[in-house]
Amino acid sequence: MASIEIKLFAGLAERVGCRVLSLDDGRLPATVGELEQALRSRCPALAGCSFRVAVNRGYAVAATPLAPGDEVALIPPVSGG
Amino acid sequence: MIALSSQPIDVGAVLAAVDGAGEGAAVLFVGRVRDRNRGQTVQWLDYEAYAGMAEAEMEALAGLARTQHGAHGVAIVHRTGRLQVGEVAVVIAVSAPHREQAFEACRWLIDTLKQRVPIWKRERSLGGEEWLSEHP
Repeated sequence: MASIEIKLFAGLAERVGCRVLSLDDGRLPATVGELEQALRSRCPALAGCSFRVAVNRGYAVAATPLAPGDEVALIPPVSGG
Repeated sequence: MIALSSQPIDVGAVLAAVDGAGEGAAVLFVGRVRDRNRGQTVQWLDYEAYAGMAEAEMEALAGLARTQHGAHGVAIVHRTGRLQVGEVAVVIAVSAPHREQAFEACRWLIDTLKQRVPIWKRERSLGGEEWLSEHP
Protein backbone atom coordinates (compact mmCIF):
# COMPACT_ATOMS: atom_id res chain seq x y z
CA MET A 1 0.00 0.00 0.00
CA ALA A 2 1.64 3.32 0.99
CA SER A 3 0.06 5.23 -1.87
CA ILE A 4 -1.15 8.69 -1.06
CA GLU A 5 -3.74 10.87 -2.77
CA ILE A 6 -3.27 14.60 -3.08
CA LYS A 7 -6.12 17.01 -3.82
CA LEU A 8 -5.54 19.82 -6.33
CA PHE A 9 -7.53 23.01 -6.76
CA ALA A 10 -8.17 25.91 -9.12
CA GLY A 11 -5.36 26.88 -11.49
CA LEU A 12 -3.11 24.10 -10.20
CA ALA A 13 -5.71 21.40 -11.00
CA GLU A 14 -6.15 22.92 -14.45
CA ARG A 15 -2.42 23.02 -15.11
CA VAL A 16 -1.83 19.43 -13.99
CA GLY A 17 -5.01 18.26 -15.70
CA CYS A 18 -6.59 16.42 -12.77
CA ARG A 19 -8.10 17.12 -9.35
CA VAL A 20 -6.41 14.24 -7.52
CA LEU A 21 -2.80 13.12 -7.84
CA SER A 22 -1.80 9.68 -6.69
CA LEU A 23 1.74 9.06 -5.47
CA ASP A 24 2.65 5.41 -5.14
CA ASP A 25 6.26 5.06 -4.13
CA GLY A 26 6.07 1.84 -2.17
CA ARG A 27 6.45 3.89 0.97
CA LEU A 28 4.75 6.94 2.38
CA PRO A 29 6.93 10.08 2.41
CA ALA A 30 7.82 10.76 6.04
CA THR A 31 7.27 14.50 5.85
CA VAL A 32 5.58 17.15 3.74
CA GLY A 33 9.00 18.23 2.46
CA GLU A 34 9.72 14.72 1.17
CA LEU A 35 6.29 14.53 -0.41
CA GLU A 36 6.81 17.83 -2.21
CA GLN A 37 10.18 16.67 -3.52
CA ALA A 38 8.67 13.41 -4.78
CA LEU A 39 5.76 15.22 -6.41
CA ARG A 40 7.95 17.73 -8.16
CA SER A 41 10.16 14.99 -9.58
CA ARG A 42 7.18 12.86 -10.75
CA CYS A 43 4.94 15.58 -12.07
CA PRO A 44 6.66 17.94 -14.54
CA ALA A 45 3.47 20.06 -14.74
CA LEU A 46 4.21 21.29 -11.20
CA ALA A 47 7.48 22.91 -12.34
CA GLY A 48 7.40 26.60 -11.61
CA CYS A 49 4.09 26.30 -9.72
CA SER A 50 3.85 27.93 -6.36
CA PHE A 51 1.74 26.20 -3.71
CA ARG A 52 1.48 25.45 -0.01
CA VAL A 53 0.69 22.00 1.32
CA ALA A 54 -2.25 21.32 3.63
CA VAL A 55 -2.51 18.22 5.80
CA ASN A 56 -5.84 17.31 7.38
CA ARG A 57 -7.31 20.66 6.34
CA GLY A 58 -4.62 22.85 7.92
CA TYR A 59 -1.51 24.49 6.47
CA ALA A 60 1.59 22.34 6.94
CA VAL A 61 5.32 23.06 6.84
CA ALA A 62 8.15 20.99 5.33
CA ALA A 63 8.77 19.23 8.65
CA THR A 64 5.13 18.22 9.16
CA PRO A 65 5.04 14.39 9.45
CA LEU A 66 2.70 12.34 7.26
CA ALA A 67 0.71 9.34 8.44
CA PRO A 68 -1.38 6.84 6.47
CA GLY A 69 -4.87 8.19 5.86
CA ASP A 70 -3.88 11.87 6.07
CA GLU A 71 -5.86 14.22 3.83
CA VAL A 72 -3.26 16.07 1.75
CA ALA A 73 -3.87 18.99 -0.62
CA LEU A 74 -1.82 21.46 -2.64
CA ILE A 75 -2.98 25.03 -2.11
CA PRO A 76 -2.07 27.44 -4.94
CA PRO A 77 -2.02 31.17 -4.15
CA VAL A 78 -5.49 32.05 -2.85
CA SER A 79 -7.76 34.80 -4.17
CA GLY A 80 -10.91 34.74 -2.07
CA GLY A 81 -12.93 37.77 -1.07
CA MET B 1 -22.28 31.41 11.46
CA ILE B 2 -19.26 30.34 9.40
CA ALA B 3 -20.10 28.93 5.99
CA LEU B 4 -19.54 28.50 2.29
CA SER B 5 -22.67 29.03 0.21
CA SER B 6 -23.48 28.09 -3.36
CA GLN B 7 -26.62 30.24 -3.11
CA PRO B 8 -26.99 34.05 -2.81
CA ILE B 9 -26.05 35.24 0.67
CA ASP B 10 -28.76 36.69 2.94
CA VAL B 11 -26.83 39.72 4.24
CA GLY B 12 -29.38 40.45 6.97
CA ALA B 13 -29.09 36.92 8.31
CA VAL B 14 -25.29 37.27 8.63
CA LEU B 15 -25.70 40.50 10.58
CA ALA B 16 -28.40 38.92 12.75
CA ALA B 17 -26.00 36.09 13.60
CA VAL B 18 -23.84 38.48 15.64
CA ASP B 19 -26.73 39.91 17.64
CA GLY B 20 -25.58 39.56 21.20
CA ALA B 21 -26.07 40.68 24.72
CA GLY B 22 -25.51 44.39 24.73
CA GLU B 23 -22.57 44.95 22.37
CA GLY B 24 -22.57 48.59 21.34
CA ALA B 25 -21.37 48.11 17.77
CA ALA B 26 -21.82 45.82 14.81
CA VAL B 27 -19.79 46.24 11.60
CA LEU B 28 -20.79 44.58 8.35
CA PHE B 29 -18.45 44.10 5.38
CA VAL B 30 -20.04 43.15 2.06
CA GLY B 31 -17.66 42.22 -0.76
CA ARG B 32 -19.17 42.33 -4.24
CA VAL B 33 -18.00 41.51 -7.75
CA ARG B 34 -16.43 44.62 -9.27
CA ASP B 35 -17.20 45.55 -12.88
CA ARG B 36 -13.57 46.25 -13.78
CA ASN B 37 -10.31 44.60 -12.80
CA ARG B 38 -6.83 45.49 -14.04
CA GLY B 39 -8.28 47.65 -16.78
CA GLN B 40 -10.58 44.94 -18.14
CA THR B 41 -14.38 44.76 -18.11
CA VAL B 42 -15.33 41.82 -15.90
CA GLN B 43 -18.10 39.50 -17.15
CA TRP B 44 -18.29 37.07 -14.26
CA LEU B 45 -16.24 35.28 -11.59
CA ASP B 46 -16.18 31.56 -10.80
CA TYR B 47 -15.32 30.90 -7.15
CA GLU B 48 -13.88 27.57 -6.04
CA ALA B 49 -13.24 26.61 -2.41
CA TYR B 50 -11.55 23.73 -0.63
CA ALA B 51 -14.66 22.72 1.30
CA GLY B 52 -13.80 21.60 4.80
CA MET B 53 -10.51 23.49 5.01
CA ALA B 54 -12.04 26.84 3.99
CA GLU B 55 -14.55 26.65 6.84
CA ALA B 56 -11.84 25.48 9.26
CA GLU B 57 -9.62 28.45 8.34
CA MET B 58 -12.54 30.87 8.68
CA GLU B 59 -13.34 29.39 12.12
CA ALA B 60 -9.69 29.85 13.12
CA LEU B 61 -9.76 33.49 11.96
CA ALA B 62 -13.00 34.10 13.86
CA GLY B 63 -11.30 32.72 16.99
CA LEU B 64 -8.31 35.04 16.54
CA ALA B 65 -10.63 38.01 15.92
CA ARG B 66 -12.18 37.27 19.32
CA THR B 67 -9.00 36.61 21.29
CA GLN B 68 -6.71 39.20 19.66
CA HIS B 69 -8.88 41.88 18.07
CA GLY B 70 -11.66 42.44 20.57
CA ALA B 71 -14.51 40.96 18.56
CA HIS B 72 -17.41 39.34 20.42
CA GLY B 73 -19.66 37.94 17.69
CA VAL B 74 -18.18 36.93 14.31
CA ALA B 75 -20.04 35.61 11.26
CA ILE B 76 -18.48 34.90 7.85
CA VAL B 77 -20.19 33.55 4.71
CA HIS B 78 -18.37 33.18 1.36
CA ARG B 79 -19.96 32.31 -1.97
CA THR B 80 -18.89 29.61 -4.36
CA GLY B 81 -19.87 29.11 -7.99
CA ARG B 82 -20.46 31.66 -10.75
CA LEU B 83 -21.12 35.26 -9.69
CA GLN B 84 -22.14 38.12 -11.93
CA VAL B 85 -20.98 41.72 -11.51
CA GLY B 86 -22.60 43.27 -8.43
CA GLU B 87 -23.33 39.94 -6.73
CA VAL B 88 -22.24 39.49 -3.12
CA ALA B 89 -19.14 37.29 -2.82
CA VAL B 90 -18.43 37.53 0.91
CA VAL B 91 -20.13 38.92 4.02
CA ILE B 92 -18.42 39.43 7.38
CA ALA B 93 -20.25 40.67 10.46
CA VAL B 94 -18.51 41.56 13.72
CA SER B 95 -20.00 42.76 16.97
CA ALA B 96 -18.01 44.29 19.83
CA PRO B 97 -18.59 46.48 22.85
CA HIS B 98 -17.29 49.56 20.99
CA ARG B 99 -16.97 50.59 17.34
CA GLU B 100 -13.16 50.77 17.32
CA GLN B 101 -12.85 47.04 18.04
CA ALA B 102 -15.63 46.15 15.62
CA PHE B 103 -14.10 48.14 12.74
CA GLU B 104 -10.60 46.89 13.46
CA ALA B 105 -11.59 43.23 13.77
CA CYS B 106 -13.72 43.33 10.61
CA ARG B 107 -10.90 44.95 8.62
CA TRP B 108 -8.44 42.36 9.93
CA LEU B 109 -10.82 39.52 9.07
CA ILE B 110 -11.33 40.48 5.41
CA ASP B 111 -7.61 41.22 4.90
CA THR B 112 -6.57 37.92 6.47
CA LEU B 113 -9.31 35.90 4.75
CA LYS B 114 -7.91 37.07 1.42
CA GLN B 115 -4.44 35.87 2.43
CA ARG B 116 -5.20 32.52 4.07
CA VAL B 117 -8.55 30.96 3.30
CA PRO B 118 -8.35 28.40 0.46
CA ILE B 119 -10.77 30.03 -1.98
CA TRP B 120 -9.93 30.95 -5.56
CA LYS B 121 -11.58 33.00 -8.26
CA ARG B 122 -11.39 32.62 -11.99
CA GLU B 123 -12.14 35.84 -13.80
CA ARG B 124 -13.91 36.00 -17.13
CA SER B 125 -13.33 39.35 -18.78
CA LEU B 126 -13.37 40.61 -22.34
CA GLY B 127 -9.63 39.91 -22.29
CA GLY B 128 -10.08 36.19 -21.62
CA GLU B 129 -10.31 33.87 -18.66
CA GLU B 130 -7.78 33.30 -15.89
CA TRP B 131 -7.34 32.20 -12.30
CA LEU B 132 -6.39 35.13 -10.12
CA SER B 133 -3.60 34.59 -7.63
CA GLU B 134 -3.44 37.49 -5.29
CA HIS B 135 -1.75 35.87 -2.33
CA PRO B 136 1.13 33.46 -2.90
